[in-house]
Amino acid sequence: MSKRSLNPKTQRAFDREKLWVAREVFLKPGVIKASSHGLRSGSKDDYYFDLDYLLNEPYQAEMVLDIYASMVNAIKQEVPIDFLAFIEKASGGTIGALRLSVALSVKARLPNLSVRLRKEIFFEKLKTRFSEKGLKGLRAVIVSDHCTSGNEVLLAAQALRKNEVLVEDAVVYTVRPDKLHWDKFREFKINLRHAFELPISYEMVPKEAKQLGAIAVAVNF
Amino acid sequence: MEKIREELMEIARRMSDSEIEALRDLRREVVDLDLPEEASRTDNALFLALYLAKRLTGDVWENLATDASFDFNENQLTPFTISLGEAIQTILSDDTGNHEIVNKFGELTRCLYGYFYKISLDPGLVRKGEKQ
Repeated sequence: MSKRSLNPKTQRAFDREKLWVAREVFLKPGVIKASSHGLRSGSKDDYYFDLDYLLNEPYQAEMVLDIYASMVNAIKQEVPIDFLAFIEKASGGTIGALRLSVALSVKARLPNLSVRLRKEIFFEKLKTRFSEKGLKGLRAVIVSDHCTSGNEVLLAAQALRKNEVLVEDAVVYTVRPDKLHWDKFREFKINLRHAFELPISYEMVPKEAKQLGAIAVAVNF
Repeated sequence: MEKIREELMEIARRMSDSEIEALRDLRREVVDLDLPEEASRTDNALFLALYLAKRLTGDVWENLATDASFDFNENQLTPFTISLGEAIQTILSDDTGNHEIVNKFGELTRCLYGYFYKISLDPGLVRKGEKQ
């Protein structure tokens, strides 16, 4: 986890032991995979991290859930949140955080909805039951698994804002700080919080991990 | 509009020269396009080219690149890359021999996405919610 990217309140809200355990998970084989991998934006990479694998196992899923809940609760302490918005990705990539939607909604005591990026009609992009007033003026926090460039999170923010929802915050489990379009996040006035930073390339896998047969990469904690 | 056409033509030319990097450039160019909005401001031929580029590269990246369990080997896509490059060039060319068919397919796709755009501008055009 990058401490410098979190405000002091968020840092305090985190359960440090759980974060440490979560960091260790990255060293297990199969969590970060070496591969010739195509990114949504067209470029290529030599590894990928798949949150889905973590969510297959109940104790790891609980740990991930707690970390997300900590990030959401930290925002909740600053501003009132009306609902959590989970992204149904258009590019067919990992479904990631969407699988956590109900559990996180229950844990954070906040309603949830899906932002369906594949839909072409703007009001169809939000899967929710519209009340008479619609969603106008309500405040959402976007929840996603990972940001490489962050474009999908920004598209979700656009879709929410087109439906008159207030969005200023997004939480993700991992980011690629070398590829993330920080400037666009500033331009869109979206405050992105993340739990972990992933390294620039598979080359950065610690030697020890390789000798142990692990193909995972340590994260910048 | 002219700028997008020129950029698309240039990428398509590189693709038909089997330059695999151009396929990635095409993907980058169209991945976040809002098709209903494009339908409202482009002509039939350009919209058809954008629609095909977005949908077909979407199929490639969904099935072979993002979250696939095997390595993404774009060199195996060389025939596809050439073919898509040639198709886009044909759609955007000034060759009058192709105009009728290109116009027909362009009209077809724009007709649908134009409707999506209309609904987006005026949600009152469709009935929302449950019937009582």
